[in-house]
Amino acid sequence: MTTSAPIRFRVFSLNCWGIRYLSKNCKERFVLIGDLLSQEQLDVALLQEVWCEKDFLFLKKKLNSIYPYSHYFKSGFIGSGLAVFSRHRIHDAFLYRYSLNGYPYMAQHGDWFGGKAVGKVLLNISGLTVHIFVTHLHAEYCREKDSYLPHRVVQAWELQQFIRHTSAGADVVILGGDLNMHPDDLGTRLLRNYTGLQDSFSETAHFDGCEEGHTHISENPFTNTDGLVPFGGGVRIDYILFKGSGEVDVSCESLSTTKGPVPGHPFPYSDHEALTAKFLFTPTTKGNGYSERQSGCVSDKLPELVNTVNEARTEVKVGLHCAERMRHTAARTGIMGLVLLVLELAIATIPLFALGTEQPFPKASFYLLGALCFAVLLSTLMLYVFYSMEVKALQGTEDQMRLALSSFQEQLKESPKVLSSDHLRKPLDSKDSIHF
Amino acid sequence: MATERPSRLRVFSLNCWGIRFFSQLCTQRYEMIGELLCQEQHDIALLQEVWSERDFLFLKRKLSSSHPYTHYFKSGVIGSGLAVFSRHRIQDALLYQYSLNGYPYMLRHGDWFGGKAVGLVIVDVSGLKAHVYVTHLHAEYSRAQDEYLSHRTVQSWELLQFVRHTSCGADLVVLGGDLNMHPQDLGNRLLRSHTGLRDCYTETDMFDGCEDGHTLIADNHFTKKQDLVPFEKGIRIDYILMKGSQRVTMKCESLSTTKGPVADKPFPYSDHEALTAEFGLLHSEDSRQRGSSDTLAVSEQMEVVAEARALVKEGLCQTEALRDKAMHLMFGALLLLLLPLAMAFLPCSCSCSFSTLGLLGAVCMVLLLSGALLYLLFTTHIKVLKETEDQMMLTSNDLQTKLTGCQLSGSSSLDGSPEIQPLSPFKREE
Repeated sequence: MTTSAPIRFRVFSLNCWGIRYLSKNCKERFVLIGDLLSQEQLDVALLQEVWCEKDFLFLKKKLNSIYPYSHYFKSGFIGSGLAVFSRHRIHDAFLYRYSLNGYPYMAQHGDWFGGKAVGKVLLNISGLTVHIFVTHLHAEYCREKDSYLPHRVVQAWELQQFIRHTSAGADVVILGGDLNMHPDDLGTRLLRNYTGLQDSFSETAHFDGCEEGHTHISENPFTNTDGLVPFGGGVRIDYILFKGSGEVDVSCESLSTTKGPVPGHPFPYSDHEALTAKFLFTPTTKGNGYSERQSGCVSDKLPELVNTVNEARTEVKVGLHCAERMRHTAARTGIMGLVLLVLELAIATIPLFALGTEQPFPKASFYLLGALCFAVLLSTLMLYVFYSMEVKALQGTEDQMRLALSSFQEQLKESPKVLSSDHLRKPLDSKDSIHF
Repeated sequence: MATERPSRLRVFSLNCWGIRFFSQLCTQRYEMIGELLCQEQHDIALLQEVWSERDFLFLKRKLSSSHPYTHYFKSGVIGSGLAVFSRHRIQDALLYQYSLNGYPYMLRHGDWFGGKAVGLVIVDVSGLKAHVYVTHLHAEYSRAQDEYLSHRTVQSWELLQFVRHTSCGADLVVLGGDLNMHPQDLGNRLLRSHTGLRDCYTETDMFDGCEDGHTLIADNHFTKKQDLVPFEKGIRIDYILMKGSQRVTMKCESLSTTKGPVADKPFPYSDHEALTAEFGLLHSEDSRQRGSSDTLAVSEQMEVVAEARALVKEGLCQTEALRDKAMHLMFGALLLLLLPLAMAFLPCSCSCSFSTLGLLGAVCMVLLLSGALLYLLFTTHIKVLKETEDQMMLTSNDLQTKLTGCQLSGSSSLDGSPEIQPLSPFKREE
């Protein structure tokens, strides 16, 4: 039984930029963040880029009296960077690590070494089941030529799949994190449309923060302003999304962001701005309220969803071709290296059959060439293994998307509202029929 | 609401042993498997070790009229090997790849290269929502000294978490696959006690198959006898598990397994035996979910989680030791590298030692690289083990609270759903 009184619930989200030895004033900023969380009357704080466990433990100790429950999601080599601090008991936690997250050889970007994932914690607020998700998607380094777009689309797909499939019994669903995507980017639209999650910035009654709700702004001394110039000085890439259910209506009463420099402090909390959302959970009479939107696939939203999934599928196919090409190149280079090695070994055996030893054996070049061949073979082998995994992940995602599209087709056929056909783009493959 | 309730559901599960060029008579056995599935017309067939996509496509073509809906789960380097063939529409699919799955350098075991996972398909069985899971856990190569035990425990944990978290809206839940665990092994007990899934073999009244329900038997001439030691006759490591819901009561009417050699055929379908379960489905509005719904079950869950946690901790210690070794390898190689470098720059170096220096340098580089890669691998494993331990601790604490709350209120029954149970309306959280 749920209580009938509405409940207020405050959620905080911040990308902490906690890259020890690389991000500026890391330790001091964590102290500031700890102070902020102590002062604010929050229910849940969702942090990203808490890469170092020591920083998490520092915050945990500092916040122990106010937020006695916490969870630090561990995955990958460096970690997922995701941490949750909660005033309410965390009953369960679950992690879903994304299948794709950049390339190990892109060391200057480093995303691959972090095990980017979506973490889920289960809370019970006065009898209401609240599912809270925190995540951090692959960074966007160059918008014009985004080589990580397929990876981010796959992450967005897996994020929405995970949320949809694991929040069936939830009264309230909240997602906070750094999506590294603009509000109208493909991945964000896919996430919102398919899950039915609503953006607190667009839904809130009261907003106080940066212009347009930007969360990465040029006024922040830590940010690289050049990258933000084409976007008018800021981008909105951090979000708090929410959804109610048939039992509970959720509304966002207010949303606020930090605005770069913090008064009284020498520097901001991070290179990202922090988001604070205040929600109101209103238990409804069973059957009223949100039940129609629960599945996120209302008949009038379906055509848009079909288009979005088709668009996503295209991006994934592009990524797939690219990955298959790279794998092919790795294989070819590896074989060339092998042939060269064999050739070299063959040449090396010639002196054994030579009648005399007039010419000294070129040992230096022999060994150097041998080492080169061996290095080429080893690296191409590892790259082949890596690209194979990438290809499998992309194919798997494409298969799931195709399945989703055929489900939508069925739903549309059964829907009482027959919509005009120009809302629907044809699926990519002509052989895509109902029976897949 | 469905207008027609299906009364029967037939599920098939088989580890196909489809390792091209390695497993014997692969192509011919797939022909046989295809024929069997075509004849039997199971509602859902769950296959494991379909490593080659070509074999999947062959089966798909062969079964296109009997099982028009299929899904092939792709992950890892080689693939997950998991395939689903269904007579009923597959509405959605989701894959969860296990975080731990062996080591890349254990080439002769090869598990690491397969992206072992659990696949979920949501199947519309005449209006009922069936959540069907297919999985394959890490193989057990030596029961006496199982170096993969912690990996399999983590896989069991992730499997149960995945099933628990994704089966909320299901009318019925079926899990089929090769768990590579004996019925009373920790991972199995963990899985069953925390998900409420029931073992068809123990639940059914009508069983026809190998003695004790064995699925890897000595009578199957593909099976290596040394793999079964010390179990002479066979072992039961493949399962079909099931669970109903408040809307649907599921009963396993019958379970059967193949018994090694197949009548009129020169060889069996695989080195594993196939399982076929027939379920009876009863629509009931107010049936209570059996399973973890009383103090006893909660205590049992706590015990098994504590046992699992100890095992994971042990695995953590072992992996930390391995990581230290990798670090020593790196530093050793680095130090060793200084030797040829120093010698190369010394005035008394002569050309004849150049090749030795070069060779030494090359060896050092290889050792350094291997050490670095192993360090990367083991650090990732340590993170996974720690995360699993943390999740187990949360569950343990949660169960403790339930138990205490249960004892305080004097009631001995809680609703069995793994989701949070609403407390009394007068009792606010904290």
